[in-house]
Amino acid sequence: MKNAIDVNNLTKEYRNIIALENITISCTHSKIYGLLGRNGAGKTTLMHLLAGQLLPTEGSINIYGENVYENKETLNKICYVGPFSNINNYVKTFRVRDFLKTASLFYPDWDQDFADRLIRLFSLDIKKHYRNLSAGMLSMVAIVISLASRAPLTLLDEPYTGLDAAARQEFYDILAEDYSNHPRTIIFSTHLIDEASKLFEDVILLHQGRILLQEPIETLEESSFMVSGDEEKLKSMLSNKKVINIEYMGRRATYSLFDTLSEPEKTVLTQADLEIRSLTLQQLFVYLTANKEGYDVKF
Amino acid sequence: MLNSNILKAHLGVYWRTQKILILIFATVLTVNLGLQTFIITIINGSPQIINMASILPTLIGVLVGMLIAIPIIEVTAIPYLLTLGSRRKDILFTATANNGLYTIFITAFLSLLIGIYATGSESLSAIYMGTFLTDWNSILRISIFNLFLFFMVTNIFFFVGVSFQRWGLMWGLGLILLTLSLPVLLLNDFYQFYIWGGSYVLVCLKMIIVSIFFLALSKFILSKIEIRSYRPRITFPSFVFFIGMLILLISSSYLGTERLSSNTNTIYDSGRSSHSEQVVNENGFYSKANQKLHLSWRSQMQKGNLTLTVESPSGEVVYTASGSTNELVTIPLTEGEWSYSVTFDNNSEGRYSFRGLLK
Repeated sequence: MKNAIDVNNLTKEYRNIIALENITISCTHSKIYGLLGRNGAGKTTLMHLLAGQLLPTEGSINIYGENVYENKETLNKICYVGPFSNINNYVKTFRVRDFLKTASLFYPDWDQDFADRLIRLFSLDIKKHYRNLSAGMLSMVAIVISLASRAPLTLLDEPYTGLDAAARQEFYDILAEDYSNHPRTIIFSTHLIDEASKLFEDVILLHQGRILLQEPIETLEESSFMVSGDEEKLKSMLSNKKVINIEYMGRRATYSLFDTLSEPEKTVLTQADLEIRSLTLQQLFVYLTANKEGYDVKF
Repeated sequence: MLNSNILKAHLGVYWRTQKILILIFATVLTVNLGLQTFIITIINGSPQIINMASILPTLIGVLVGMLIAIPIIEVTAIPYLLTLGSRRKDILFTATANNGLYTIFITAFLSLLIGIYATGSESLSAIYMGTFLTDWNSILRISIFNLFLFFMVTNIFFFVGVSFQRWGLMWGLGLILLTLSLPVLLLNDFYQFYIWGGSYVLVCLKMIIVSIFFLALSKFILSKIEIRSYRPRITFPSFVFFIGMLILLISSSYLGTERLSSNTNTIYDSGRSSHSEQVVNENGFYSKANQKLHLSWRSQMQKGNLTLTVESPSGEVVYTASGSTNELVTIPLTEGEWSYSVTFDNNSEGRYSFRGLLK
């Protein structure tokens, strides 16, 4: 089967600002991708480009092997949902039912029963007017549209702005359940990385408009560690490893690695009285994208 | 080709976006329509009451406002439609279809209003494009003309709206000024057509060409449109463009009004009388060889009589009209000083309008 997404040498400029620079990524069908990056990294721009809402300055975007621009067949396969409150592209005269009715007309695989179930789950009042909806309610509307659309490529850009922890958990559960019943490609952008990371199969990390990495989550788990102990020992024993962060506490230090550690290497480190722990995805993200002066992150 | 589902979906969005606007306008129009019909059928009466009740010019303003508001509101739906995976060309197609529907609706409504006004009004009848509004028969030509005119107006304003969406405030304002410059420059021609009419086929053809031109421009701009908000910041090129267009509009206004006011080929004379004695108004004009006088003569008498006489340079009477009359006539002229006189009899009460075009 053709890749869900093939992006080649994609660049997007706004006037003189380069939002994305020479991006190349591929995403296979039926996978959940976590799209991570700091504010202004270019996540939303990339999603808009994938949905054909922005036009690339350079490069190409193929969705299921087809160009996305003005391509009706391809556009029918994409559902992009962004944060309602941040993007001024929703019709202010609408009620919740208008948003849902409109979406049902546009997406050929729309599942009304599932939409009704989600409305009940989130206790959404469909008669409520746009201006009377809280940020959380707007996010619920966006989530209902994104899931009920059953689009083969679903782009979720910060889908749960304003949702409380319980509602977010409900969303994760329903997404996981629906994904297992209806596999599709989902690109999921979020800042709540640890919460959502259980859903991710692959991670794409954007930093300052460039792809920093695209790896399966298992690969990241196998190659990100924290090693704590005596600083001199750490310095000498980890000199050949890619260190992405160092924290000092007296004579002790914690080295964060973005590198593999073989079992013999782990044994040697443990015998040297050094403690090894896994890095969470959020920690890895923070260290990889931190702007530290005088520290050269090599990977 | 656009499938029916997409058309239905887009029109659904437009309807949901515009329904409040439609409701307000439809209410205003229905109330007025009802009021006028009631006065004509029940009160059956006095021209004064009809005139008081008729807010026809205001309604024309309301309808024109609607023709501007509808495409502008459509434009606000563009980002939403793009979010839902619409193609840019589909958006243009359905917007045009939507505008066409509204144009037909507004034309029909206005024709109905004009017809009621024409039937009910016993005062000096109004004239549009060489057509006296005296009965329902005079409506057809105006309706066809309005249909093309309104469609052109909505397309122009859709283009202006798309320009705002695409390039922001200054470019949008500049394009509005540019769009206004041409009609302002041609004010004299519009005036002449409005009073004496002309080749409807040619004018309608021109309006179709203008509509297609603006549709093509909108399509071009839409093909590059993106979902992001274009900030209304003032850049140097946009400011220069705006100033340039402002100068163009001022120049056009000056030239257009200059052409209109210095036009010696048009004559306008009107008057009223409620005196007990005879009143004679005399005037004249100079004609070159092989010219014709296109005369729109309207008179309405409540009491007594009034007579119009047009005399050649040799003193021969070539045209006369008396009493309450609405006429549009063409009189061949010879070179020289022509004269016309309007005579109110004793104890007469009435008014007249004499509009002439030498061509």
